[in-house]
Amino acid sequence: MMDELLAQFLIEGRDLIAEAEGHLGLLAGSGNDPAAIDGAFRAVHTLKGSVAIFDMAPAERVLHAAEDLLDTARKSGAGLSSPAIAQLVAAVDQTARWIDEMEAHGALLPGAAEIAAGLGGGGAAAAAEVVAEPEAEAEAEASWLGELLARVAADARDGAQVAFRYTPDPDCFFRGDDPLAIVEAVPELAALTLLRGEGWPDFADWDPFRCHLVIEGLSRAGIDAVRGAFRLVPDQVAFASVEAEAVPQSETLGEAGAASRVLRVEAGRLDRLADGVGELLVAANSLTPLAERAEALDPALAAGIRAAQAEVERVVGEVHRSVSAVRQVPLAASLRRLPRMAREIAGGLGKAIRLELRGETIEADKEVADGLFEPLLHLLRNAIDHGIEPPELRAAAGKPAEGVLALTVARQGASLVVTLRDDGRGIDPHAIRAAAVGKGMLGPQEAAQLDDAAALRLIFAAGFSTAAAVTDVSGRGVGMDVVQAAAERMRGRIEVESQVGAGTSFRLVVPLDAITTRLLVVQAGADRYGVRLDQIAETARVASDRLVPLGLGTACVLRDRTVPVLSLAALLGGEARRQAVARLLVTQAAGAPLALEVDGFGGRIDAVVRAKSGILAGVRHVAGTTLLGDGGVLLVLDLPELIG
Amino acid sequence: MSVRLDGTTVHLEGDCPVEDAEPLLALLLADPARAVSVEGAGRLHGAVVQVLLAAGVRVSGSSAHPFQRAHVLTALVAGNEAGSREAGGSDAADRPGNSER
Repeated sequence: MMDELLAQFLIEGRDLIAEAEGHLGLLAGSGNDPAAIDGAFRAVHTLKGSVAIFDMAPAERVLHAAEDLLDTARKSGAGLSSPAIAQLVAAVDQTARWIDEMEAHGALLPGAAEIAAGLGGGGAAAAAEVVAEPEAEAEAEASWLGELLARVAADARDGAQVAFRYTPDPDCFFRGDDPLAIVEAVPELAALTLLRGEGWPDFADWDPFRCHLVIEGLSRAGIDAVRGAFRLVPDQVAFASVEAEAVPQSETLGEAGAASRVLRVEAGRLDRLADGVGELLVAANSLTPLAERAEALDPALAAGIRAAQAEVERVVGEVHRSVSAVRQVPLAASLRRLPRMAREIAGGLGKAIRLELRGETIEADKEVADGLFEPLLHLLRNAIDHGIEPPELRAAAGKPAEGVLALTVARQGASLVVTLRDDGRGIDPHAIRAAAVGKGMLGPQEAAQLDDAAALRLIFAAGFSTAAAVTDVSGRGVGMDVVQAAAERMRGRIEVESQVGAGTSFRLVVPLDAITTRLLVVQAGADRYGVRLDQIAETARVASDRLVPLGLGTACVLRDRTVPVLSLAALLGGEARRQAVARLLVTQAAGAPLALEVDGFGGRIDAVVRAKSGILAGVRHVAGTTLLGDGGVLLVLDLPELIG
Repeated sequence: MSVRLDGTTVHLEGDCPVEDAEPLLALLLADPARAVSVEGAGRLHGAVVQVLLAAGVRVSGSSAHPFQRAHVLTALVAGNEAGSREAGGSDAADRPGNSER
């Protein structure tokens, strides 16, 4: 039972941390953003309530201090200063670290109290004072408020902010007061109840000029407006805030301020759903050959089958889109831990950095989103460790002391492009060439022949590292080859660009959709093959006389660039055929365009590509297979491997 | 006069200030079977409403006054219901209107 509670808290607490960070991030840009201050307050307030369930008193204190800071800001409308925002960020960061400790150890590590004190969390005595008062008040309030809320109609409770319990002085009539007239002045009254006060006499003994009423009610106006109505009798009225108390604890934890209805779904269920959709697609494809066979026997029947197939394909397409959409998650969910981790890494290295996230609202398949975190973290570590210079060097170079890292997510066709750019020292191609030669990866002549772009790509080779000293961060031997492997696991690629002195930019390009792959069917020799659409830059039909010899091979000028041309049939061990019109498939090889001549273009299909297994496992240039509607198997080519 | 007896019904008409509490009380004590109508009543002073609540009497009619109509009379009806549930026993028997609620 306790484990379940903790597991729930880990998820929801981290959601709240992310929310708070998001709002604080906005405030870093503009310290006076009422919506962001309010949002941060609500997240911190809810988080404070959550940590109270566990033995996390230092976290409670830190969050309480943060909450006070935010509450003052939101009530005064004054906005937050930079030091205040920094304090809030530190509080949220530390709480996130404590949540990690709860996950790893089930308790906070020793020293938490000192850390809390340093973050404005006060000593135990202060905390006790602060905590005791609201609790005492809360207990007294709870009983009459609970009963009042239970008594009133649901629609009266709607939007109610303040509850009051007014016990007029028994002699108020003699003073000329009318309690009902006072209550009539309460703005936005939502509900009113009249109760018999203590010592209510029997009717037979009734004294009409003594007041024994107790009047309770709910108002939709704010506390200050409601207090105003009772300003002449303040000691006769008790107030309670309806919003905070009425919502049961579990709802508060779950919603975290968002108005949307959200469902938590176990990822395995979605995977099974996705598999089902894939098989539906294949099944729908299998109607085509049936229609063809029926054509010969009964054309009307064939027409009927084709019509039915079209309908099935339409609906399957919709289901596929829906399932894909369900698996889509905003990338922010995967990326949200990065800013804090970046701050920690930088702090550990004595560097100051700022990580800007852009485009994190873009959604991608959950598998893709999850798979991005590790490689991005590696890239981040690398950029902070090797890219961003120490403050003295930056100052000498005329750069601001704070290094800027920009992480941008964008959609390009069927691919997701994630770019990490830093304004650090850049990568020197000469240094890379020298290091590669020094490690015996290539000979000096080979190295000299590489152009700068190719030299930069050497960093992705296994075992490559130019770090002069192994720092704590990179000491684990995490090289860029790990990042490239991760990109390839997601059927993507990584690219690098750099300018010495100005900075470096890494581009991670991965397909958006993990369930089905869009393929282009091509003919090479007598066979059909599938080629991944996201590996194709463009297709072209050119007159064969535009293909000219270049060195030992052939080339063609496309869009003002000389592009080498290879025959796909020849690459696959067959015979190259020259046709009057050459059909070219342009792809990227080693960062430069390359054209493959094919014997024909087939259609584009959405296919479920199964990884190669069995006897195919050893075949190098095949990425996988897919089942065609006619029952045939299409080999899906791995272009980079084929060309390389 | 804002408290008027007509047959078996006590009519509250116009605004009823604190002074009306006493005549109302007298009329209701004299004959507990009497009903009260607030049709045409304006603002009712807290003392007057209190008498109605204490008597547990059935209140008919719809006051023209917004606050009275929306809140006080609703509260009064609810209060009376609660009261009769609490009282049970002898009191309930004395109020012929209760059994119909």
